[in-house]
Amino acid sequence: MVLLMDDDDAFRGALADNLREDGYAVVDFSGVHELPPLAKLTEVKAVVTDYDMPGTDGLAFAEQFHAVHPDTPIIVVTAYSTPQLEADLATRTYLSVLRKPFDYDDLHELLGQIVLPAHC
Amino acid sequence: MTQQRSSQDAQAKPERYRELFELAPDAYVVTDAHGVVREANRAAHVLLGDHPIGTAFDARIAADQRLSFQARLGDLQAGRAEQLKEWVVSYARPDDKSVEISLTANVRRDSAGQVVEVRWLLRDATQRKRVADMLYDVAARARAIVETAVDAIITIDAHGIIQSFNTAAERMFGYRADEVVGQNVNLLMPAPDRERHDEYVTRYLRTGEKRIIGIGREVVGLHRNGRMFPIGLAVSETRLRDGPLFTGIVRDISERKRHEQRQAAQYAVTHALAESATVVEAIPRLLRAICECGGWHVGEMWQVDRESQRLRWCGMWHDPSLGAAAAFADSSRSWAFARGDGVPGQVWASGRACWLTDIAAQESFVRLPVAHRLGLRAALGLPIRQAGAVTGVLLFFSTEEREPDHDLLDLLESLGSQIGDFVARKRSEEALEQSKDRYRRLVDLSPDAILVNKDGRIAFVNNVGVRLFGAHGVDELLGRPVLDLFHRNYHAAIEQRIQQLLHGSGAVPFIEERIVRLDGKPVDVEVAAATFSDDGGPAIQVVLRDITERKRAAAQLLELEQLAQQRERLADIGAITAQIVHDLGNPLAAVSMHAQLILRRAQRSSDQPLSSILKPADRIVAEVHRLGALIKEFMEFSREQRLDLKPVNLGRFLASVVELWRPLASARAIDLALSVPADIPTVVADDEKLHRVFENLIKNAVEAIEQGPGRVEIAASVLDEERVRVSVSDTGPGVSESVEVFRLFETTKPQGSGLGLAIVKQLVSAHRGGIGFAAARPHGAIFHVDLRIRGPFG
Repeated sequence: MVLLMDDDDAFRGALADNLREDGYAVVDFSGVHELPPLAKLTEVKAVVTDYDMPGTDGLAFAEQFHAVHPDTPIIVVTAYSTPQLEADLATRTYLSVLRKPFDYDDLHELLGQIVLPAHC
Repeated sequence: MTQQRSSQDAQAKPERYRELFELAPDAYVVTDAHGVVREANRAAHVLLGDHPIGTAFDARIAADQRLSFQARLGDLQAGRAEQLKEWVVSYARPDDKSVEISLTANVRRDSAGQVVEVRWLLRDATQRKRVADMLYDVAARARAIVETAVDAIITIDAHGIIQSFNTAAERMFGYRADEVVGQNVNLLMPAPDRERHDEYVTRYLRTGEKRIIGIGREVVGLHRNGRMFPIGLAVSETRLRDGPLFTGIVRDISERKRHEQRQAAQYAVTHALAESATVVEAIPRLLRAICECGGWHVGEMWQVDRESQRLRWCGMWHDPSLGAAAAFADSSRSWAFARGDGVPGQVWASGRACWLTDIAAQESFVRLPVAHRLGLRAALGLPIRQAGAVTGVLLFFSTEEREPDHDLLDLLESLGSQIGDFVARKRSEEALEQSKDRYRRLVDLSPDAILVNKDGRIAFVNNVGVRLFGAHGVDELLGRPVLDLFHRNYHAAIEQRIQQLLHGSGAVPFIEERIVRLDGKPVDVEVAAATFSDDGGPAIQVVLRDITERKRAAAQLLELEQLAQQRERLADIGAITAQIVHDLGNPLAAVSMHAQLILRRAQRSSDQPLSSILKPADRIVAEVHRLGALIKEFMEFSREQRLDLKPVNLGRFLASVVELWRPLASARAIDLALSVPADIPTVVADDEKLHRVFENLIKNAVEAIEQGPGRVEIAASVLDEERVRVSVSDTGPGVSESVEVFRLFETTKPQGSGLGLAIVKQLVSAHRGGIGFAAARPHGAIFHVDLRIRGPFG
């Protein structure tokens, strides 16, 4: 199961549709306020989260999630880049990064490479 | 000759002798030894009025003289006297006329020595007696005059010895007549006349040169008690048989002198005051005048110091012959008398003059030791008054004891108030002069140009003004029409201001004008003006400040500000770029996802129903719209704000904005209310820009509530004379006041760009207005916009 978090409904919806077309099970949230306790998310095999969301710090969420599920790969998508962001990402090797807008195939490839058997 | 012949005849012929006896011009009577008339000649009969022969001669003599007659006759008979000489008796004639008869008698005796007859020579003494009586009367009258005369009358002889000394002289000089008659008159005069008087007299007698006789002069008399006093002396000379007699008429002129002195003092004081420009200058002159006129040797002035309520020494004058006066001044300078302390303090407290015959007897005289060194004895303290209050004290000292002179006191007291008035007047004059001086100095030192406009022409201009107008000297400007020096474009406004000044306002604040220097170069100035009146009528004082420098500085500042704004804009561009990347990135990512979905669906199976791509295609269109709106916002923000100003009717304007939002608001059950008072003034603004401002604010308010019921209220009000306020309040959740809502990209809304309020603020600032927000009660936010009624430049 892929956990998808982005405050942009249009993007999140389109990405979720694409993933489902490819047979992924997807749970999507617009922010951390919608999340159940992290410990319950044992089914999640990969996380795709936006970096900058109103009321939600994508990086902080990624760190917390990684603390609970250290083996689950996390992919951060972001629309822009700042030196701070680059530094943050560089120190967290468990993170993968995709810059918006990106090709769905790039994500699909990344998910496939990392872990996920299709249709998991 | 006749006598000689008759005696010859008598001897020759007894008859002729008889005739001669009868015809003699003198009256002869012959009586017997007892006084019975035996013979009388014709003259005797005429004189006596036919005295009958054979009657007693004394029968008609005045009764009181009759005994005396008998006694004298007896003396003649007895030989105790041989003759009677010119004895005057009163004789009563039968016709009742009384005659004075001078009797001379001799007796003829017989050989036995018996008296044979008495021969009487009678002379009419009536005339003589009358003269004698008259002389007596004259003398008596003269004596009476002399004795009762007010003037002293003293007679002296050629040796200066006093012959007579009348009652007035006794009073005047203090001697009794019997004490001085026979003494030299010089005891009545002091040195140096005393030693020289004999010399004066002898010189006169020798040369006949009159120095005083018939001229009269003022000299000094010496009273028995040693007091000297001024006298007027007139001397006349009478030549008597035994030498000259000098009569001196002496008048005590102390009173007149005093009067003169008083007048002189009054004059001297008035003169001293009139001549003095300042109080400091007047004090010694004044003291000197009073001292010299009143015979004082030291004069000092004390003034009440209002703050400390002490009398302080403020100047003195002393007779140049007094040595240690400086020491006295030094000692006096260190004193400050409280009310009632010492002699000056007593005069101050009582407000009355104080006369000390001798300061040695005065315990309250605290400066006694040093005063003693100067030999000061008598003292006089006088209050100086001004409007009834004592403002100072004058003190005078004499090296002699002096008895109080009430006339002098009266005079000096009246001078005291004259002096007080003078001091007060001078002090205010000095204060006025000082303030004038200060004003002059102010004008001189003023960094601003100052000129006086009198009847449209320059009546005065200070040095800064001369420089400002590019003149070489004041003369180049004086008398010039003021308007000549101002730029043509300002003439109408200046004339209007002048009228405004002259008819009411009195002063007008600084406004910018432009002058034209003499060399034709225009200079920007700031001008303020005020009216004033002097002796010559109303005038306008104009203050000009060269603002070329300031204008340049302001321009520079503006440039700097623009530069700073540019930099800020560059910084903004950096932020905007990042934001654009973010804001455009998301929709683009969404568009891309949808497009890829469509693509993949189409690729995966060509027979997919078109409906499967309908949703993503629809989303793409929506996202592209979103992108377009975003771009528009950016464009607005980045667009340079040029204002197209015109009067805006706020009521109508706000209503039009509100109407746009009414459909959406009512759809969300939000009540949209507008309240604008009828008297709200028209505001000068760019209505399009204002439209965006209020559209934004109302949109924010509606979006804050999201879903009704709720209320958005737009209200206008007059804030003050220059500004109106429009507020937009909502009943939404409110905004924390710590949020910098107007900062670029600051947003609390999930889909907010953070541009809206930043744009609003920029537009309001462009109008030089104000914007702010606060929490509304019980919840919600209230935004207000303050606009200048006369527009950003009004």
